[in-house]
Amino acid sequence: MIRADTIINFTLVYNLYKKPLYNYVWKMLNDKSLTEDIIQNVFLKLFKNLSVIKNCSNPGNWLFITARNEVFGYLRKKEIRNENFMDEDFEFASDINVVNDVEVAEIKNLIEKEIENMDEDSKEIFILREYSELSYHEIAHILGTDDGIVKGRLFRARQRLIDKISKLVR
Amino acid sequence: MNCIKNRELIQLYADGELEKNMEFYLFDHLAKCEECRLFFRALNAVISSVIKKEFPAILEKKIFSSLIEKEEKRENNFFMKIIIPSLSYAAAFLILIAGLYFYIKMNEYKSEMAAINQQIKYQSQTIELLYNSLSPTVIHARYDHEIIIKAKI
Repeated sequence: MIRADTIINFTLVYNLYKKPLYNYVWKMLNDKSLTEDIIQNVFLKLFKNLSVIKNCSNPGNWLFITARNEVFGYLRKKEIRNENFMDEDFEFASDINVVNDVEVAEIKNLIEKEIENMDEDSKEIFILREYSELSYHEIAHILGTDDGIVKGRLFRARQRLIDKISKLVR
Repeated sequence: MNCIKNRELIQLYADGELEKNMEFYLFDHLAKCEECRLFFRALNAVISSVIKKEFPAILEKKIFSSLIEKEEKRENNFFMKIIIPSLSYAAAFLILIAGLYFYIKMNEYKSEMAAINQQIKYQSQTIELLYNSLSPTVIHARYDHEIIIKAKI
């Protein structure tokens, strides 16, 4: 039988981080089945090492660092072929309820494209902030850098996006 | 120059990382500055354009079923790793004890046999001695089953 406290601890961490983690991996890879594989793998690792991780201050950081290692492990293997196909994103954009508003949809598409064109560091910081909603401090911890660098890169990335859409926003 | 600094504050505010005491200052500036208001709106448009995916229910099912599978395997492993070896240790120990018991028993029989051997040897020597001390005898056997033993004196 599965021990009750283990499953409770796991479920607490799992529910808290499943969506931010899923969105991070998905945005980094743009590949649904690969994202699912990595997420499953990371949560299985979490379950296996729960007793160790429970003692560390933030299990979320552990989850993101583990997922990040898997993502970059995959990217290294793939040697980052820059396929900027947006199929997945278009398919995704169709199920949002603001799609009637042409202008909003246009901004969304523009931003999606711009995110793909960002340099790797800025893109990752932007994803961790906007898709996973992590704080500057958490992002800095995951990337092994300091808060100031995270802030600087994030602000510059956003500034570029704002420049792109400024003519559409009145 | 002032606006560049304020735009940083706007971003901090949007991320929920602006200190409370700076909020009043920021809003005061926003009320006065059209450019920064536009920046704020554009930033909001950027942030709200981010579409987050829901966590797929199928994946959730997959994760939990593989967890249960893993746990069952772990329990089987517990059986394989703990129960079976301890059983074989117990069996080995029993065999060792039995071996020791039989060894001791065998030694006992051995000494017993040696004693009996000694006894037989002694008895045969006695018989031989007795036999030699007797005068020679002649034994005649006839067809009518009469056996005549005569001592030669």
